[in-house]
Amino acid sequence: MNNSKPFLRIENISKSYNQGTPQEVTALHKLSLDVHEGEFVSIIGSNGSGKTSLLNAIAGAIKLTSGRILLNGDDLTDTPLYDRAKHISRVYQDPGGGTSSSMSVEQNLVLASLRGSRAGLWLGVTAKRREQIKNSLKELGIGLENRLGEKVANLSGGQKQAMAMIMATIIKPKILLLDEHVAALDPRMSRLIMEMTEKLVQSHGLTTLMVSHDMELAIKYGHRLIMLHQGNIIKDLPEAKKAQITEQELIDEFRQLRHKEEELSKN
Amino acid sequence: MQELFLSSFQQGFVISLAVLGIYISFRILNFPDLTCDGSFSLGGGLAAVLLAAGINPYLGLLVVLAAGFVAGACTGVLNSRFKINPLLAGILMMTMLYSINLRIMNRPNYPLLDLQTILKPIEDMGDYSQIALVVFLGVIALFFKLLIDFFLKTEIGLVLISSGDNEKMTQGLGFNTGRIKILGMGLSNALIAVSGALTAQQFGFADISMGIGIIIVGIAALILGESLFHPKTTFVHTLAIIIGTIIYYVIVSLGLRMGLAPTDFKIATALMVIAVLIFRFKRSENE
Repeated sequence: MNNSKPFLRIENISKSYNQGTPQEVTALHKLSLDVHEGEFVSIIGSNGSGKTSLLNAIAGAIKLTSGRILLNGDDLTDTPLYDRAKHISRVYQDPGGGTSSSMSVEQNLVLASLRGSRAGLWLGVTAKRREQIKNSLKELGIGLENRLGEKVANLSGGQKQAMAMIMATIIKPKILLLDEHVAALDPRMSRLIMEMTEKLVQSHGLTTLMVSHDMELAIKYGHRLIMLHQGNIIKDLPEAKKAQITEQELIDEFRQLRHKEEELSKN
Repeated sequence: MQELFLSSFQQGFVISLAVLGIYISFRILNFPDLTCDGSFSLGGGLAAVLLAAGINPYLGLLVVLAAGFVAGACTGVLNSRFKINPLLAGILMMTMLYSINLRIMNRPNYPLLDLQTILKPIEDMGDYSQIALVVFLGVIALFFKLLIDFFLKTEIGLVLISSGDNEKMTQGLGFNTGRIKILGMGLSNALIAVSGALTAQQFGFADISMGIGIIIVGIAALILGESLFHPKTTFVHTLAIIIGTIIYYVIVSLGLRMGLAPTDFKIATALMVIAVLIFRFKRSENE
């Protein structure tokens, strides 16, 4: 798999805010990354290291200062977010972020199943679609199939996040971006959603980038581990190396980085 | 007394179209749209001029519908394309519409007496004309209500609802929320313009200032209906809006009977809205 041409190519991207002023902040600094089709990449890094900025850049939520992003050879750099979203789906940390709370469970899922196609002036929730939705919800085993008509506002955070996961994958995306998507959940629900994530990613062979500040999760899941610092990649471990690394080693590494930074700011 | 109820129903049905429009912008799209004051007058003025020109009143209504749509879509473009604040976008459009309406009407007040309006055949029915008018206007209101109910169940309708509810997520599903908002604002103001056109035909004149304060009337009727019915589905919500508007006009007519000066209408309506909002706030505080 790793010998094939890169599927997602990130070329030398930078993003700074307030450029040319004393308040200039660099979120991404000449970052390059190649991701192969079907690869599941875990991304870690301290606050402000550029994790979320990287996902924002791929999704099109921020405009780059420089650099290019290519998906399957197509230059996406100037493609607006909603256009990229036809192929790139994202699940956020906030469980409410991935659903429309004033709509019913089935309406949300129908909407998600329209990803990449044109919405028309015909009925959204049809009997056929309802049946399909019911079947895909049954597989989850959390009882959502019996609450199709219920407003999403009435669901728990975990249930909303489970819905967001299905909505992100009901039409197979070319890239799946997971932005600390289990960080806001309790441990039981977080485990459940991670298991569900793994199952969905594997069964669809999804190319996935998962940002996490939980190092245990980052080590346990995925084929590759990337560590970000000051807007660039400082560590890129393939699967074999990733299997050997321990949480403690990563924590030590972070500590050293922080130490270095403090030394620098003292001088 | 009977007369009071008949006229409240007539006016309620006509204005409920505007309130349904305000429901689309204010509730579904979360867009406090002030265009409506202008698009209501636009509907009235345009209908008057078209009728005076001898155009078929139903065809005239279609033209009004289209004009209202364009007005609302312009506000939508100002906001979603050029990122102008929603309130300001509405005010700008409303202000421009004032000049446009004066251009269309060529005078501030345009009488419609003796013209072949939509309502004329029914008004000429004699003894039962007032009741027939209630039925006719009720059918029109129901027609638009059911149309909106259906529209909000379509794929585009679902995208519209989710755009107002969670724009980020809707864009994240690959939908151009800017375009859908423009469509929603267009539909909203199309309804409001039609409401203005029917109002002018009902009262026998169009006036440049007939739309002033329609937003507050709309919000009053909207929250009256919502407070009474606590709607959970679109079908009930739009029905609650129609009934809320009728109740609003019953209250207004009773107020007039009890000696409220017509010039104090607007402050009374605004105070009513404030009272309901304070009541809701207090209740949510206690929960």
